[in-house]
Amino acid sequence: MSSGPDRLTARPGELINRDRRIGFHFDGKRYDAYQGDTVASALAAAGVRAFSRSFKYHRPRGLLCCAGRCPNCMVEVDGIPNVRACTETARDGMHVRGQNAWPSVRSDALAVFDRFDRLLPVGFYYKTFIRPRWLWPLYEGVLRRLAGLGRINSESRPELHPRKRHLHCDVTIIGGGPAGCLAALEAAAAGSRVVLVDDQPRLGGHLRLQAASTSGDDRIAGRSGIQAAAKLASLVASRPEIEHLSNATAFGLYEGGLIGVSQGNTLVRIRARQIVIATGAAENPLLFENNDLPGVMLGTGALRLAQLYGVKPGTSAVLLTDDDHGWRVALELIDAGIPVSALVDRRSDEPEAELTRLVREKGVAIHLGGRAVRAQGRGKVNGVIVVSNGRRQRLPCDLLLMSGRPEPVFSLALHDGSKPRFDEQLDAFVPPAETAGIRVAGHANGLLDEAAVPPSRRRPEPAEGGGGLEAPSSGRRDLDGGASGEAGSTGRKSFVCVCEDVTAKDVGGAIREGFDALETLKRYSTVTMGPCQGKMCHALSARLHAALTDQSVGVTGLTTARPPFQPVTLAALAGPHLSPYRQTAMNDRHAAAGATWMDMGEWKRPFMYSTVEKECQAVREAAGIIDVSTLGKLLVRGVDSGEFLDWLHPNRFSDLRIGRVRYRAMCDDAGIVLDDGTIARLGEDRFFVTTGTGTLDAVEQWLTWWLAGSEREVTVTNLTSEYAAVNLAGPRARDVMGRLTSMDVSPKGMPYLSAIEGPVAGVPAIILRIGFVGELGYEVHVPADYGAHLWDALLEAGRDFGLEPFGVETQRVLRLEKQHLIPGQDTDALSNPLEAGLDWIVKSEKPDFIGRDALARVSANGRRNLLVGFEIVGDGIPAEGAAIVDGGRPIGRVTSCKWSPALRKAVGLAWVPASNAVPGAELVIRLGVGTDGKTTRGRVHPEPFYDAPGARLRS
Amino acid sequence: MRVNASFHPVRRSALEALHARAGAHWRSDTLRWPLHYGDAAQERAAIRETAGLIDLGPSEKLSVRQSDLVSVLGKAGLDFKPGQITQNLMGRTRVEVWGIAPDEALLVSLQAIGLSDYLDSKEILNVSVSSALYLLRVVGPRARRVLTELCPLDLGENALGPDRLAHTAVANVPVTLGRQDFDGLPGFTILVPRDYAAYLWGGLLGNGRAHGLQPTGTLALERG
Repeated sequence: MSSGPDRLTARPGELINRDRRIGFHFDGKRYDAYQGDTVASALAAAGVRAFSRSFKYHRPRGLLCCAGRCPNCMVEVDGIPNVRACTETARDGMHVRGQNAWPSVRSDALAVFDRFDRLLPVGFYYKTFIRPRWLWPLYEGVLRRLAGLGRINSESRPELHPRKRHLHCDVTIIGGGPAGCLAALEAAAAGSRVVLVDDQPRLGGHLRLQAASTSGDDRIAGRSGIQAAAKLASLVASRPEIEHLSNATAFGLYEGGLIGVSQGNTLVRIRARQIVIATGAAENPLLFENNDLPGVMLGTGALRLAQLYGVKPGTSAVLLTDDDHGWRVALELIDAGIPVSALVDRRSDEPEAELTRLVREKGVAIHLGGRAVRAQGRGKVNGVIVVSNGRRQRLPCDLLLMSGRPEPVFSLALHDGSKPRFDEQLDAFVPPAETAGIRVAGHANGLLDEAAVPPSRRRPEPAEGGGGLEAPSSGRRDLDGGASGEAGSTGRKSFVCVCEDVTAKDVGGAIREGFDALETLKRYSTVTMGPCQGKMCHALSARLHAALTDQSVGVTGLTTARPPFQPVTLAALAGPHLSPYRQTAMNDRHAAAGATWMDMGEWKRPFMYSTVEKECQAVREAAGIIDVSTLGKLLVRGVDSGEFLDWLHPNRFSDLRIGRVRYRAMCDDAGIVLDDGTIARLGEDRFFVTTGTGTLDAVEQWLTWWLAGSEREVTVTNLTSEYAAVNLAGPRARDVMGRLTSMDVSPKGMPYLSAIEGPVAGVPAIILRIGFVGELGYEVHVPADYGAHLWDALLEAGRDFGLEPFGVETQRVLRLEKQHLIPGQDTDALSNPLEAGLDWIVKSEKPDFIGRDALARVSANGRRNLLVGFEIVGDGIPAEGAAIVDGGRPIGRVTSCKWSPALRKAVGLAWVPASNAVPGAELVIRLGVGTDGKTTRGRVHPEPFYDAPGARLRS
Repeated sequence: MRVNASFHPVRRSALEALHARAGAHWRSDTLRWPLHYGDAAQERAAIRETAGLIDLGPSEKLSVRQSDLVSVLGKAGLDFKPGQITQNLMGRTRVEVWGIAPDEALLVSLQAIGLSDYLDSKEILNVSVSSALYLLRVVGPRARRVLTELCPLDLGENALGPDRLAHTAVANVPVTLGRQDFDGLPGFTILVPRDYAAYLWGGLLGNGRAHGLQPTGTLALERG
């Protein structure tokens, strides 16, 4: 229960607080950690070496990069899969589990796959499990269990509280190393608003790992790297123009200068005029057999553990390199307290004298012109076979470090589709020439060691970081180890891509099979397609491909870089749960009355208060009120309003008298019904137009469209939110109204289809004498701030008559008894008013209106299908959309069908061929929407089922 | 109940229930807008230290839509600037003119009734939208931080200066957003359709609490 034997003495730049201890669980066992530890650093300090099992062969994998780049330490944290342990801060009480292993990472039964790699060659999924076909269901079951990475717990969803931020600035700098910090300071000094995005907890980049002194910019030159990093951080903090986002990863660059950044559970969307990419350079892994054994790490990975967390990943290290960079890493490691017994450099020449001297002084055995052939050990490295100058020897070690020459990291600069360039002099890919608004700075730009790069090859960039650890020298490189191959080495376990378990042998095999272009090789072998998205294998696979196809890497090229650069959770992309909804003014009243709700677009509407039966009975026998505030309401004003409305509708409104209301249905150019509602003429040039709940936006746009560029003097004002509306309906409705207004509510004073403005319950109102449910009705509109007051007054005034509120479901039953259609429910994108039973609104004698020609054609050609009422005479109630069949073939469909408590039968509306639309015609109707064959019987009933003459409505 | 009984209409905020739950003290029995939520002094402090969210209360709002608004409203002594909010005095009544579009103005008066009659007398066609549109104000040092989490617009000093307005979305609701500072504190007024107000209020508070946003009565905007 200690935090392990493998801690170094306190390091100057460490992130841990050694006075604060916390504890967490990994695969059921409790581990101690210091505050500030990552899950990986705490486990490494406790001696854990295997963190995961590999994707295909289930080989144990240990820490590799310790920088959130590789897939090796992906674990499940508190139910969330694929979390990188090396960047996830350890929290007290957290539960961490290994992935892709059964029963555990330590002993994984599936590791048997490692022995059968010959049965699982590259592209095996295109070749195997195909015959015999009848076995596929078995294969599929097994493959589905084995495939994929991490398990999603579908039982409990973790409590994520994703947030979103929108930032706008003049300059966004991605990368908080020396180049990024200096660029930020420069931009801030010029008066720009700057956002500095860095994926580390502290600024300074690679300087934070470096005890050796820095060169470069005056502000930091001469200091140790760690001091220089601190200096840069304090300079940045002192500038209010700079907003520094720490632990934040820029995962993509998108159109319009949009940068996607994930910072913990927050998605930050940054819009910048200028983007500077200063993402540095990254050390490459090397190729040799068993290069994935736990204990084989990147040199900077080990250094990261040591300098930032005081963790000692091994007691005797051998470092493999092909660059001066590796020598510097060796010095830093020794300085930090990690003994390096041997350094194996691929090159035959020593680096500059001073560096060589320093390394030799530390007693490191140097093997020039040497390379690793094979790492040895079972589950953990214990030695490496090295060949140098023709001599083969075994070097014992418990830590094998790979410090391949660093490559510039600039994938983000390619997200706009531009292509990298291969610089022969540098022997490296470099970013494209500066594109609009995007610059690449520092090591990311291939701006390398000053001394090693001739001035003509230097990238024109002001912000140069300190010449430090990751400043590689030039010089061509060959591939190491089993790749291009020592005799006897097959590359069978030389991993190019650790995410997808693609080996050097696989790459060779794929090329022999004809996938000899890098992009096809990628798709076939899946190299670079894993969770690291090529961060570990991009350069390695390109170089291996070049070597095997005997061409230059410049010709081979790199595969396309696309967002996201780093994985981002769907929850973060989705952001907080912000789905707007709309409430009417009576919302609280409905809730208090115990209404159940239904969504209509964004609106919340009461579905039902008690039962359909009870609510229907109140409306038919006494009175009911329904909240119809969600109806669209438009005020159309201006001298040309009447003529404009005539043009928009098949029926006529210019002749509507003031104080009258008329049904409206609107068609498009093809004569298709778009929407219906009413139009009331409140004044000479003032029309109050109502629309359906869901169609308001379309209608408003339609009106605006036809007014644009028109000479008509018409203005349209959307008053949907201004008015709350209630429909009062039932034989006692007049008695209720009489109690709420001093106006004459008698059949003479306020007759059917009148439209009157006056006070109701003391509030100015628009009263329309209309109804949708076939009873004496009043639709009352009042300013919405008084909506609840009106509702209260109606309930109070109607109580002793038996008035009840009713919901949308009851309204739909009542309107079906009257066979009133609802556009969108009973009509669709092919329905015209002539066939939908609205022929009475079409005034074909009008000079012109939208849809006139189309409707004339329908009249001329005859109506083919009609919307008719029907009753069910068999059992069951067909679903909406159910087919009407004749001899098993569909001939029509049900659009609405509900049980009517009053009629004691189910009634509905359906589209049927004109020949079937005769009273009493028998219909065979499927019950479900599917084709399971169950049917019932119905009978056509073209007349309303309830009060066919409409006497009650007009009373 | 007698026929034609006299009524005492109660004008209610779309947020009445939310205000009540937060302990609002109403303006009056018939105007259900919060003056404060129990501790006006604390609310005054909150808008100076973090941020307050205010339902600006019953106001008269008139929509005027026609071309040539500069001269048409000029006739009535009102200053119209598209994309800006102007402050006007009509007698003793303060009238804000929101330049919604080159051919659309919104007149807002927190005090007066009778503005519509006055415009009618000047033959300026106007439509009351007093209930339709709600004014929610976020004010305080953290106001900008609260809104950057919910609004894609650049709210920087140079992008949306004082008394400027813009059409945007807050918490995915289409709104008009006006910059209206208060006493040197950054402030933003959100003009939102009434039916979205409760949703938006909840969305703002739910996300803003982390930054110290709290409901504040209108009293906090008066010199105390």
